[in-house]
Amino acid sequence: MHSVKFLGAFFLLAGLLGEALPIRAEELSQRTELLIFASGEVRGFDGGQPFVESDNLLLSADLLGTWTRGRWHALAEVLLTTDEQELERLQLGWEPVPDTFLWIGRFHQPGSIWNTRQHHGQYLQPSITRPAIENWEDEGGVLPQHVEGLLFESRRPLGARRGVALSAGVGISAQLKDGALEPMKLFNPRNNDRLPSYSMQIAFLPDLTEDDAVGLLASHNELAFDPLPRSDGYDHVDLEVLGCYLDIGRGRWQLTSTAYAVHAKVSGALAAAEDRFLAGYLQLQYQLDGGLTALARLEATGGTADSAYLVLFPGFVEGRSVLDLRWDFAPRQALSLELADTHAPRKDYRELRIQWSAALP
Amino acid sequence: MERSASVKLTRRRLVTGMLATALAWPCRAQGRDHAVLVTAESDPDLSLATLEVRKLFLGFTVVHDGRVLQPVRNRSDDLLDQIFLQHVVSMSAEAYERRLLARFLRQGRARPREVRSREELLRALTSVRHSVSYAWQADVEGVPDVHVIRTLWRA
Repeated sequence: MHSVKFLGAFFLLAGLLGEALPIRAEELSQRTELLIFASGEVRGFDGGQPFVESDNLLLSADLLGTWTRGRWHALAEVLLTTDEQELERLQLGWEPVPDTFLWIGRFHQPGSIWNTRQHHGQYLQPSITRPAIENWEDEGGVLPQHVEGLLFESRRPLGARRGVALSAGVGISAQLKDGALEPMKLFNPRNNDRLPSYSMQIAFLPDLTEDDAVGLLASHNELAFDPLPRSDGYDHVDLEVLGCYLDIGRGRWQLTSTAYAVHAKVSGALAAAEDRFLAGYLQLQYQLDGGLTALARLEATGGTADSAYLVLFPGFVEGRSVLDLRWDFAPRQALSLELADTHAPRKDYRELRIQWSAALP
Repeated sequence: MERSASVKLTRRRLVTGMLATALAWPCRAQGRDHAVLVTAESDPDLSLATLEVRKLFLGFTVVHDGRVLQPVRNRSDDLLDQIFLQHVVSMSAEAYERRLLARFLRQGRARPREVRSREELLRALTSVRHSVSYAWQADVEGVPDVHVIRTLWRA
């Protein structure tokens, strides 16, 4: 029933916007473009290899292709690494009015500001790693990030220079399998017991044309266990997340912070458990001379003890301190060094990473 | 980190200003004393506001009278490129590059087409429908079908 209401509102909004300022159908101009975000990373660990990490050398290429014709857009993102090969995004979009999109396909859910800004473009990401609470599903992430369904995105003016950005997504959520979330694979779907996902973000933009933003995030995901039945009697999780964030730059400084309040209800026909926990991070960047950028990030969680949901993720990170130094040594190329001190329930460890990243061509 | 580039930009403005002054005489001698916004559109009402021009070159969709405008970045001349960065998008070359890459990554927004000579510019203006670019006034004066929208900079 929720799905029907959401879809109804989705298409009503699209219809209204489509009438507001139409783009002439005959004014078509076709463009295609391909870009590769490449990176190579060497990493070392002190205190034992983390649960989710596999090799100490990681090479990756994120291939991003787009096609535009008039108000129609298509986007495909394929990630090839020494660990995995995956179709990350595949979206077909319609732009009824300028800067308002309706997408169908596989996308990154808008309940995460980090992932909807950085995606897999390692070169544009200010640090080598992402905050643990924003980790991808196959990197030990505890929040679903990939959804198949419909996505609405709009950026509208608010007065002369300010703006508001709204994104909302509805689709098919991930499953819980072998201690990790597993999103649906678009061309290899195992559609048994896939449950719905709803997510949104709304942001105030002090300057419509800039990236500075302050906003709210919300998502509701229903996660089915696979396989079933389980010995503990659980068969699914209702995961609700509320968050707020800011991403503000002043001069050479950039402050990025996000806080999430998570409510998880693990339940089945015979058993149920409920818990709430907090997770967030505070990141500060400073641009030095000579193409250097220094970054510090503090990640923390609260209320995670005895969580019936988090116990499902053996690699969950409770806290981490990160220091990064990045050197943009050539056009579209950077070298980064990262030190991290990580606290996880099963073990603590330190990490050292060195990475080359680039945007090609 | 694009804001941080504005610090650089202030210095860059000073440097560009001095550079522009120093180059003013040879610019005048070479007919490069006026940088203008140009189009091949025949619409006499195409008077884009500064914010609209900035949005256009930052990868936003700008529609005028139902037509989606197409930005063309003119990189035929270093000074002209500096004038574009300072007076149109108001950011350093590095920050502009990162901004376009980020827009491409997030929504698949195509980056502006680039031309590297006067001939390429004139070809783009006449072959790409609803294209908008910028040029030295002397380079487009008297060219049929190319119209000056307004002056961006003068020496």
